[in-house]
Amino acid sequence: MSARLAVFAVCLIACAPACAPTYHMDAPAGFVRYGERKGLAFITADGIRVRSRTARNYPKADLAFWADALQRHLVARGYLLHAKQCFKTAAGLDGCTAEFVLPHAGEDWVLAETVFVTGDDLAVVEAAGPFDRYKKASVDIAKALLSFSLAP
Amino acid sequence: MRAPRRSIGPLAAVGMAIAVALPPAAAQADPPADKVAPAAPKAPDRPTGDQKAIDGDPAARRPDGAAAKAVDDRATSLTATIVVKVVHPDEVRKAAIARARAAGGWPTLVTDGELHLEVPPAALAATVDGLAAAGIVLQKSLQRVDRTEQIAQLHARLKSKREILERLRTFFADSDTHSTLRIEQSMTHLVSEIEALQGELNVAEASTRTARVQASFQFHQRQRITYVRSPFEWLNTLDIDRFLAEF
Repeated sequence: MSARLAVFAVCLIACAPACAPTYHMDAPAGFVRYGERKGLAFITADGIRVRSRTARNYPKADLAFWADALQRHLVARGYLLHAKQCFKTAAGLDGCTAEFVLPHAGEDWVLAETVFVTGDDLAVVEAAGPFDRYKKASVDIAKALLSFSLAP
Repeated sequence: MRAPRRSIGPLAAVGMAIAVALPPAAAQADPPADKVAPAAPKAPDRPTGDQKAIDGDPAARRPDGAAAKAVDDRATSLTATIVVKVVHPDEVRKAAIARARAAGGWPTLVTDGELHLEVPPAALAATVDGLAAAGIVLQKSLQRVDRTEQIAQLHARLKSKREILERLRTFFADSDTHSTLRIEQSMTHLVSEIEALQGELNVAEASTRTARVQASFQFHQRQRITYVRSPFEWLNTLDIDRFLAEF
């Protein structure tokens, strides 16, 4: 019995990374896939970056809660909220994007955080770049976010 | 015996005039006009003909003729501040300066990240709208300061000091050498005070004739990001430096 449990535990541990959700999103126009990491990562020739990450949906809450908490936290840190948009992807996932402006390395930068609630997890798509360059790419990023989905 | 009696009269008058003209601290503490913040109104030194109006005597405050116009038209200083992100700041700057010049204004500060303009108050809204339309507005504010009271007080103080100056001039006729020197000393001091007040008045009045537009193409309200902990752990990992490092 204990041997079976041990095998089960080993299987669980081995399975854990593989069980982390994976996402699909079309590369925004002008972006190329970057690196070999499991999550999504795209970059433009002039260095605008987009990537995904997973966070625990704890305490379990809906999209409105997390969008609000995210906005309040970053504004309290000194980021300037300058755009916020909620949308539904082609796969029917609800998402909210908040774009913040912040001073970074002597320039104004944009950090955009998009949150999707996927049950026990939160899928977060982050994008960042210097303001002027980011604004040129922002429309393409928003279009690509509409294709975001959980990979089967 | 006549001579000393003749000199006592003007001397006493000079003393009184000095007492009126030079209040103990205020006269010494008056800074030059160019170093005075226009927003800081000053109380008049001594009661004068206009003091009743300043103190709130309704009869004295009743406007008549040209004074009525001055009371009716509030002297307001307008300053619009806008932070706008644009893709091509050079082009936007040139266009804004051209628009300001066409409206009768002029630039007062032109740098890579800042543009300050002085425009006629009527052109303020159009100038700000033109800048806002050129990009994404991050911040916009309008400061309105009523300078009517400050200007009225400066006028009253100037009038009072000029009256004292005129009175001092009349003392020359009957004064001896010693008194003449004291009168001259007092007059010199008064003239410098009048000049300073006139300068302050010019600055205050000029600030109401034009409106200021302070445009910034760089967001720098906070030069650094502060670290605030969230009760939600994953939010604490949202950070531009971490994002760039882990990419």
